[in-house]
Amino acid sequence: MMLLAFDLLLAAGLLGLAVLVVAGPTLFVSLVAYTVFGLLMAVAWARLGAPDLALAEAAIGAGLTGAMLMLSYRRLLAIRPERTGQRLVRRSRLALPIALACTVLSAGLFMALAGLPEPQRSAGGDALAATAQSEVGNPVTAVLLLFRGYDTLLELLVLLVAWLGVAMVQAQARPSAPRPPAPVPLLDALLAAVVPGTVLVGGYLLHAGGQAPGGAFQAGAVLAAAGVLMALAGRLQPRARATPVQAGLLVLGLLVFTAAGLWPLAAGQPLLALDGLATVYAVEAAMTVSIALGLCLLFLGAAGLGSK
Amino acid sequence: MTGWPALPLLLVLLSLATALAVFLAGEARQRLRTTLNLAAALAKLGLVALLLRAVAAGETFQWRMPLLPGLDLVLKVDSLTLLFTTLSAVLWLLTTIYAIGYLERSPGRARFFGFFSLCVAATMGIATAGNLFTFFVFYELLTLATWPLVVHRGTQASFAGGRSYLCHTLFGSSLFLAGLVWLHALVGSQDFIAGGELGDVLSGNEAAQRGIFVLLLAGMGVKAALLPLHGWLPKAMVAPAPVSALLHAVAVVKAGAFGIVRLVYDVYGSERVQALGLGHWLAALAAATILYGSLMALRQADLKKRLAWSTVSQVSYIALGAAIAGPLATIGGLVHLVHQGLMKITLFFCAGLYAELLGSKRIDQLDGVGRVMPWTSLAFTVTALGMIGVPPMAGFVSKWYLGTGAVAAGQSWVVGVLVASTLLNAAYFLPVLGRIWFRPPPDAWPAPTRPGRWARAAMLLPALATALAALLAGLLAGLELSPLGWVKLIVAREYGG
Amino acid sequence: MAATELLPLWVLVPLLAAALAACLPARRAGQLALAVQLAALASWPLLAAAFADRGPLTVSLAGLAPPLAIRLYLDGIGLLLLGLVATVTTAASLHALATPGRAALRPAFWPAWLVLLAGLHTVVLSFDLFNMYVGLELLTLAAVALVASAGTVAALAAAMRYLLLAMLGSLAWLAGVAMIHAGTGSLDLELAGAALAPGGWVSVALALMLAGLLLKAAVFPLHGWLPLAHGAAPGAVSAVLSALVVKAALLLVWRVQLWLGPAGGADAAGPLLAALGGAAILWGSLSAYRQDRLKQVVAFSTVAQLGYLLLVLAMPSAVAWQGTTLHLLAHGLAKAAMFLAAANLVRRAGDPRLAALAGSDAAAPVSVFAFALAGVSLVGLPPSGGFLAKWLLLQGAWQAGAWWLVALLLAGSLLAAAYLFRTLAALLAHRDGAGQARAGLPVPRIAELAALALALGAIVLGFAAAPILDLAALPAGPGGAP
Repeated sequence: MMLLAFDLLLAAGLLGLAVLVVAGPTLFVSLVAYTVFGLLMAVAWARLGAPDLALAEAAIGAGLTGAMLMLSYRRLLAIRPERTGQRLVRRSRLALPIALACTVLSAGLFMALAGLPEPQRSAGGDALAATAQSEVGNPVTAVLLLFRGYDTLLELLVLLVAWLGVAMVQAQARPSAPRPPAPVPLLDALLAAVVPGTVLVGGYLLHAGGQAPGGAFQAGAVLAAAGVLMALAGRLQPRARATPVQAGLLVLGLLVFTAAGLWPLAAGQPLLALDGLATVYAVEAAMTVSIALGLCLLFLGAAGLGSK
Repeated sequence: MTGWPALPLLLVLLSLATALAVFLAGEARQRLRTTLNLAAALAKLGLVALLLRAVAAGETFQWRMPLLPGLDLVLKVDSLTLLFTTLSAVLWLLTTIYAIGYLERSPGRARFFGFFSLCVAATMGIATAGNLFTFFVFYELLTLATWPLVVHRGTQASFAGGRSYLCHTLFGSSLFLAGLVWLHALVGSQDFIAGGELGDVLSGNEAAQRGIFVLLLAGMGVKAALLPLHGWLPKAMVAPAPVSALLHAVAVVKAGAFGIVRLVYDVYGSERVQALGLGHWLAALAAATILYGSLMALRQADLKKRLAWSTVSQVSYIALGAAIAGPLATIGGLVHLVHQGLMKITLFFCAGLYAELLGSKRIDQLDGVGRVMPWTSLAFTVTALGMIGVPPMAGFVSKWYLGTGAVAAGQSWVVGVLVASTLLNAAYFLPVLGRIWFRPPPDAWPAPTRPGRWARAAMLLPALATALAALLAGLLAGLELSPLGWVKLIVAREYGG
Repeated sequence: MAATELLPLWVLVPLLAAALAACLPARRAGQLALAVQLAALASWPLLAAAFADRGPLTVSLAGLAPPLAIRLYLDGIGLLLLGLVATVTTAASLHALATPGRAALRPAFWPAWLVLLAGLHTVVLSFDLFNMYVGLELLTLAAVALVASAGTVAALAAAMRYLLLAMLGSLAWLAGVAMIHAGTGSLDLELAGAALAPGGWVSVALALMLAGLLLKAAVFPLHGWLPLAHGAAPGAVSAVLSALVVKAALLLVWRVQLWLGPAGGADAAGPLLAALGGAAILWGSLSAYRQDRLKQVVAFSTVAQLGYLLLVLAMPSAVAWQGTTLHLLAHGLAKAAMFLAAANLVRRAGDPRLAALAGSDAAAPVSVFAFALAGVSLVGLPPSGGFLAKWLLLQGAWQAGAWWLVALLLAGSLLAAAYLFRTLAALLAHRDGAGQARAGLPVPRIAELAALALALGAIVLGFAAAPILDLAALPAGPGGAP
């Protein structure tokens, strides 16, 4: 009963925030509502029994995206101030047809989902069974690295190509560095406390990911948050090009994972059949570094980083 | 007995290679280009002479290349092929010489001669095609090769003429393709076989036989300028004179007419066409075109336009010959392929000469040119009389056979059409001749030029040569060596009559 | 072991190369890209030999069995598509290396190019629904980055629009995949197809997936982004996008129709998709006729030609599949050649408008010739691969009794001829003021020859089609016998 009430509140909150995002009086209200929406979404994932997703949503969906939106908002204030006073979605003739189409689509999806059969044998069941027999305790990590490592590898490539896209539009985008605030002792203290703590949390998530919810994506996102904090405080500046070391770190995850995947071929094993917990942790560590750096650079809209 | 199979392929590749060489040689190297063109034309002529002797002795040649299962490219040389090939080879040589003189000071000559050779390659392919599919392939190639020639001048009018040409030919070729697909869906590939096999293979399915015939005829009729698909021909007169000459005498219209001949004799067979009742329709259509073309020619004030409408009219004689049953009509139609080619090309050569040397493009600007350009006007006169059908010229020979063939087949109304056409021809040619010889010349010509001596000779000699050939084709028609003699051989060999 | 086990290398090698290229300077990265593509070109015959020996190749990754593991799958069409990818990307990268505009000099260009290659191989080889999603994402993002590399405002705007619409498509695809997975318990194409039973939810899922794919493949009426993006991108990029990237999405349409369709109402979807294809042919050709910029004409021509690839879904016979496969190859070669030649012509004239290209046959004859040859194949004039493809499709339509398809095919050719000859007329027109110097830049020989080689390939396909088609029988589906 309590759970049902909680779920209803959660659903109502999500819907209400969504309406606020689209129909909020000013742009700022929409953005804030969107960030809170991300947080509530994370709670929803947790409620659905997907803690890994909840962690990722909180870190990336709410945290990084929210911070990026705020940064863009400040930029918009500087170049197009009148836009910030308007709503997010301006009035348009297409509003009604699109709303109708979305309603029809939602109704269709609802009815379809209501009619979904329960399959007898599912990949998820197979995954749980196979995880029990492997050294890795977390089924999500097992699926990501052991069973469907090919997809994960390609997703790392997706992150790389997103960074490449950012690097490509560097010349036109000309990201300006976030203006650091005036030197304030409180900020220094904050950084001194928060950043190492974040690094610790990230390391813990990475280590825990083998047996419990966590893993490379979550750890990388948290570390990226630390990087974002330093960037917002002005300690890290965007640069037009990545140094060779930075480029190397960016592709480290890809390289290590591919090497780990090709290695079994030499021993006559099939491709991408990672064996041993040590290999898994090594690959995850490399992935964490790449993801962290990648997300941080995507946030800044920059190809490289430098200090002040 | 079969001869070296690659000879038909060689006929096509020779012109293709020439085209490539001319394109690569570039605009600047004029002497190289002239040498290439003339050498290739002479080589082609030699090859054709070789083939003539071999085929007269009874050899056949065939080359086959499978493209897809059930779809072959087939090139073959039989006696009918050589009729068209010889005409093309001889006229190509002469037109090349003419064009060298005509375009002496024009830009873009490399492009022109390159596509010129490509055009001849396509014509050779059409002549040597051994089945409908191969015919279609080279037919389309001809469209592609002639369009740049039609729009060579690069002006608005040229492109408008080119647009009309493309609209007509591509539409026709869509119908052709539809007919071909239908045929293939029913029976698969059909080689050209003398006497035609389609009736036997498709027996019982008369509707399909008629439908396919109509579609294929529409496709070929566009290029042959049959009513009502003739609209492009007068508009294509914006092209330079050598192009008009080639288009009308050798390449495009003859290809269409040749296609109709192949369709009637080698795909369906003449008896089958009559049995399906299609012969009447084709004859009626051809007769209507003959009369309509002549009537329209009367109304033209521009010389080239008048000649264009004359072509519309004259080429339908060939279709008429194919539509009437019996060997005599066949002979008349086939031999007119050659005769009309020789005569019409002479007329166009002369028209080009008038336009180039004096700037006289309209008929009323031709007063008294006989005194200033006597040789040209002589050639013009001789062939104009031939077109009218004055004996013993070549035109008379074709009309005679057509007439007697029509009477033998019981279609005496055709004789009436022939007589009317002759009268109309006289009506639109004789006044021109009158102006040329019997009127005093004006004080100043519209746009007189003085080209170099070689250019002038290069333009005049081909005209005289073809005029002489037309004269001899008529005078010496009884000989075996004449076009008529060869046509009789074709008909005897292929159609048993 | 050999070919089957090494199938994943087709994806892993470009992936590694992309990672390495991200650390190298632009010139070295370009050479690395070329080396990888030449290696792919050299390995293709080995793959073809293995396919000829053993038929369709399948490999499960990580040594596990589906539905847990991901499978890679290579059938005849996939094999031919890999060959096409290798050929076109090699020629296009030669063009890009020889014509260093601002685009190819950016350090991010060649890594993005290699990611595009990896994405193409991923999509062609994948047999797993989620893997297809990742492959499509790779393609989209790499293509967006490459379109943006041109650096102009138009290119950035076009890239943004492409990104947003493609993301919408990906979302639709993912929603459909999620439903299929929930309902069948598997992401493997074959297993999911076997477990599907007709039901309302299946139709909704398939409709979502197809809608997403149609958006990515720029099928009418969801084609709005393509002319902008392909028109604004650098020449080599447009070539690869038009010839290959949209084809990858169409390949997935075929796969979905064949493997998942029988359960989900393919009988209704097939004619509907074919009708959309027909509309694309007509609309695209008419729009192409009205453009006044050369690259826009070619881009709208892509919209039109993609329609041909959907017609087979209304007449799925062996002959029609052969024609469609041949059209896939011929159009890929011809369109890439056209874009490369168009880039050359625009560079030479210094102006992208058709009216400014008069007299190009004197200034850049090889490029005009390549353009014309490619156009001949596109229109379906003999002798070319495009003509044989049209012939086979006509045969298929006739045998199926689909007269509207016959009329459509013939009308499509006529319309294509209309815009081709209009363009050629503009190129062959006389140039006023022939003495004035041209505003453009010289075109490197290699760039012209790359365009010519591809165009000649399209023509040669008209003569060498039989052995190539032997490799591609009807694509195998459950219960679908060749």
